[in-house]
Amino acid sequence: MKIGIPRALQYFFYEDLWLNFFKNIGIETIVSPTTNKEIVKKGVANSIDEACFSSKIFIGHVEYLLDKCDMIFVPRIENSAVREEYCTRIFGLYDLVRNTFPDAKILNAEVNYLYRKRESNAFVKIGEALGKTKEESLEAYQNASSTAESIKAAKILKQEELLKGDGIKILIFSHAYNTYDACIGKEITDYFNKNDIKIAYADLVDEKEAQALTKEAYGKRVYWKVSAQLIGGIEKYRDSVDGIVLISTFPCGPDSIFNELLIRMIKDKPILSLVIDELDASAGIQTRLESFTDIIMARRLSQRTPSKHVRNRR
Amino acid sequence: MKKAYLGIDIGSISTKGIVIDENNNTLADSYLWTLGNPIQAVKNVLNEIAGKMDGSYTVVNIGTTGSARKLIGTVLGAQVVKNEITAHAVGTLSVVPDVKTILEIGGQDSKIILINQGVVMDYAMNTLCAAGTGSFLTSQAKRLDLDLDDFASLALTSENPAKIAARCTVFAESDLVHKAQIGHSKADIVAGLCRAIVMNYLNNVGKGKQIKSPVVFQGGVSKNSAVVKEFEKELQMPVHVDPNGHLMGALGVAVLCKASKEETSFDFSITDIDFVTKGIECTHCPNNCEIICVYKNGTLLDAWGNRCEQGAQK
Repeated sequence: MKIGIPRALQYFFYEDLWLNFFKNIGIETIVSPTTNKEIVKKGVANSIDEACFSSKIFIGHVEYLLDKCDMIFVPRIENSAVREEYCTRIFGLYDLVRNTFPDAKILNAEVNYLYRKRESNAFVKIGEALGKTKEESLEAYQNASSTAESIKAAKILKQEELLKGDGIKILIFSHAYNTYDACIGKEITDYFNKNDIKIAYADLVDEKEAQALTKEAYGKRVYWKVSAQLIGGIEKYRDSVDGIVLISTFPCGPDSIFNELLIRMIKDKPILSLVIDELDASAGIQTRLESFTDIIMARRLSQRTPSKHVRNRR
Repeated sequence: MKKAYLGIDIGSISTKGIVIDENNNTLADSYLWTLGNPIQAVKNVLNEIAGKMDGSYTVVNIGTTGSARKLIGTVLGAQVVKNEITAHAVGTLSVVPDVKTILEIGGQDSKIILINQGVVMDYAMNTLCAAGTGSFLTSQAKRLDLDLDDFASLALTSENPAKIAARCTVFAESDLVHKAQIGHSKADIVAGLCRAIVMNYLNNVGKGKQIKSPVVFQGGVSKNSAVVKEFEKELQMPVHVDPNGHLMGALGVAVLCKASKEETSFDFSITDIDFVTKGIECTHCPNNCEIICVYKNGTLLDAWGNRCEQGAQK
């Protein structure tokens, strides 16, 4: 039995949890490769035009896996707690894949705290489908969960150390599945790395801390889970960086609100907003990255008034 | 021999070259159409400049900007290859040191650059769409059977500009036809178009930006006095158009060349050398990167476009 996992969307939120869970119950997995043009092409060909670029990529990864595994793991994760909703593109994935590839064997489980479908229950169901007892699955889940948590905590710690250091630093505000995808964020992070600019990621933040920061800054809860977390990340790190880069894929619903909101609210840092789609236009991105870099470098040199928060509180 | 610095700006529509001395005085300049062949256009510009140059000067450093900056930078062995935003800002600052806002509408790009105390603080560029740029005006002028020079003078005679929707070129065009069919005069339509360009620019590129005086307007469209007048009316502040506004990008890189302190020997006979470019598709992995190879007299000078080492051409 071999389980295929598409390296897209949810994978970037749950990579350590999922891979460790399957390892703990002794099930072999295959993760699709980092996104390449071929996968993008397959994804675009099998998706409706209105889908966002990131979800088109997901479909490409599923197609890649079709003949390489016994089952493809596409859980339906609607939220991670009550009032912490994922975007509809994410929680609709199971149905999307089922309808796009009717013959595909899908390993599915539902997480929805509104209906008391907890994450642990979902993993017990997955274990059941793979012939594991409830106890085996629960133990595997709990171990995987604490491994994933400590990996994330270590990453956050490392980022906090990085931000204490000298040098030009920027903060990337983007869904993890965009930031770390080889066909979306990589060109952008590669550019900053090549130019010795340190990169911090808004998604590397403790979820509880992020929620508290978001509420403090904006006076209310942010509906979408991922956006709420990212905004918390911005609040946490914005004073330590020289500029902020927003990366979104066309046409992202939540980003269309929050990118605009951030541009209006943050007046003390240069912000670069990049929208990526399947029409590969890297020349335009290069020009924008270069001029953004010039601006943050020039600001550093001129060392103007020390940065301070400018916020419009409601 | 006195030292001189050469700056070249290779845009989508036109190619500009300028040579300055140590005190930023112009020694020679040239402005020609790119006509889809940037290398030939640069050769023509260099020939024209060579003819205008005083023999007591020698070019010690060259810089390129504009959308073909990398290609031409490689061909000429440029020391400075700079994005258009920074180049335009530096060039304009050398002429108007207290400039706060630069409006630029070129052949296919439009941008806004905000400057505070001589440092670029923020900028914006048009996104996916080229609505309201020079190429739109050119095509509409052709459609109305008008010379571009008559376009502005006719627009200035209008007392009641027709309202034209300029959010999108396709809609603007059908609106234009409609206005003509219901009986608006050509002068009113043309004036309406100029106004639409301004409104489109301010609502898209200039959205949310604080435009402060002194304002400098550049790019090919700044040659259209009717558009300038509309900008002044809408912003309620004077808008400066430098007669050499089209050379600001080239001037900017020339100034940056001077600042770089690096020196090289440059010979105008480079125009006799045969440069050939070839686009190839790498077949080593599914990304199929498009690689551009530049050949000088038959030997490979440089190549770029590959995402990884597998595509390296030399």
